Amino acid sequence: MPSRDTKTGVLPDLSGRLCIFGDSHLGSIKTALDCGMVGFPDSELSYYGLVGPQFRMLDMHAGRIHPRSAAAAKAVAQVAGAGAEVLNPDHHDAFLFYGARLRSAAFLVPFLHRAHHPALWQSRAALEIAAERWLISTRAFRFAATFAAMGKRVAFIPAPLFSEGPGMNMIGEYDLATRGGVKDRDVLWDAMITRARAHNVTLLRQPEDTITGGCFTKASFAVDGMAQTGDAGHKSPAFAARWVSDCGAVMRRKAA
Amino acid sequence: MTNPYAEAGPEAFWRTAVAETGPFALSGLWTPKFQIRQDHRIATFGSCFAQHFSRALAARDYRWIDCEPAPPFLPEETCSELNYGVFSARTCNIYTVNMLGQWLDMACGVTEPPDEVWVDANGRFRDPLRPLIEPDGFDDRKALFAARAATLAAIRDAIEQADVFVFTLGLTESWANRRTGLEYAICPGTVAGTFDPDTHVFRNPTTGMLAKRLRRVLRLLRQQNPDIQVLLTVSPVPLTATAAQGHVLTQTTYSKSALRAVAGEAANEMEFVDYFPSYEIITHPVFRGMFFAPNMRSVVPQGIDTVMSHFFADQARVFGATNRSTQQAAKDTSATELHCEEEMLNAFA
Repeated sequence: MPSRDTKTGVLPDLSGRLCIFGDSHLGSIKTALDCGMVGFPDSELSYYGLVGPQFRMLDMHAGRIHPRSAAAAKAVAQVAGAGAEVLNPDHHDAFLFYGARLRSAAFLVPFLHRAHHPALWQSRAALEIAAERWLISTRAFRFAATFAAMGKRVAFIPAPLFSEGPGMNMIGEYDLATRGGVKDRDVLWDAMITRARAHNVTLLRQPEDTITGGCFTKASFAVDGMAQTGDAGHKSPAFAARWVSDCGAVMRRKAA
Repeated sequence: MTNPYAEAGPEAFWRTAVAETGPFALSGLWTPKFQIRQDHRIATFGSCFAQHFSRALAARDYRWIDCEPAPPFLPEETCSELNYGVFSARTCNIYTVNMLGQWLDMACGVTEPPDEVWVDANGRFRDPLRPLIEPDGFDDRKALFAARAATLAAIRDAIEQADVFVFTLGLTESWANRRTGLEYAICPGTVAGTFDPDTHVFRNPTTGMLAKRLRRVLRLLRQQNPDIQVLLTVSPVPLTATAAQGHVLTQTTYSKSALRAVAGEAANEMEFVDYFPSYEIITHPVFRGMFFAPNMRSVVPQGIDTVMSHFFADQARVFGATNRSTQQAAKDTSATELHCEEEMLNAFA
């Protein structure tokens, strides 16, 4: 087992009634949990979410999340189970947001490009403002922040960097991001984590040794069949297990 | 021909061109030397009035180039506070010909950037070339120099990319370091820095000196980009204050007259240089001061609109109307989105 990446961060206490909330990335972590690759032994697990393109069909009213349409309710039921279409935070002690449309590449790739462009510079203050805007512009992060404000323990694992190979086509004009180094990512993750912390949300960083080519996730962590489908976004259950276990809490409990 | 005026057009005579026309029907104030099309890359620098120029061009789908764009996700008001998107690089206002020369010299490697920095009362670092570029100053010298290096690279890009370089001349008066000769963006001790009469010296160049400096700047631009065309304008905004001996009103007249004269001379002498009379449109008595706010300094939006309407009308008069280009950005459909359903179903089926 590789040693834990100390840059990843540490999950808050997720014991008790834990809801894992997300989009299609939920598939990888649920499989990892179902297969016993990782576990939350002190947690009673439930899931809530929708595939990404339908995320806008989730609304928050009075602190609860509702599907906006019958079709969305049906899709939520597939994840959460029949009768659990409305997410009431009072029924949970902790939340782990997984993927959930918070795409780390959307923030990291342009800023990694800027870090290596001779005519682009921004202050730390500007970077934090940008990080704040990026976070709060994402619906799921606003849900997470609301739950945290209610006193819930909330962690957020964003969608990872695109997989190498097909991911090259996803970075568009930000070609200099391929020169990104650990120090560049340190600065960017620090800004993101700092702003998330201001909302009492623990944002977890993608393990450094899963990253390659400056701004990509190693192909070995890609979802099965990436070569055929070109799906650079989704990752394997092993990747989910790796990220979650790197955050410490799971493996520490197992070790205990 | 009895005399040279006999065959001159109505625009050559005050009665027909102005007195009988009135301020709102004036036309043909500018006969542009070169066409500025929507697909031309246009760089803008200069005094605060130049900001209006870049906004008006961008609003009409002209290809104004921003070589130092704001980071993504920054709200518009923050971009504005941090001086992104104001000029083609984050120079802040460049009021004088000499200041433009300094920036270009540094950007083109003619001179080394200065080491001088100002430290404000809060211990924050300020760039004497643009003390207000970061409203709260820089964390340290390293950040200040890194930011300046980025701006110099952006200026280089702007010069190399631009088809048209628009520069609005604002002031003649400036302050400089007596020892190094470095000209400051503002007088030390006003909004940043500390004034020291032994170190800081006031300058108000003669028209001859200004003309010489402007020619040098224009030649440097042309050396860097042999195809570049330059459009000069003079800001109609009066001086906020003068450090010359005299009244601010008369010193404003000196400053603007000198700038107007050297801009006109440069346009007459150099085929790649033109002068656009935004100064006259705002300040001329025929307009009766109507484009100034009650403080008789700020220019009201109607003034900007009038200036720009003359700009576009005269371009169209000489070169014909241009069509607006409409480019539809292609939208990518990512494989990630296409495969979301499948990923979710695999785990929850």
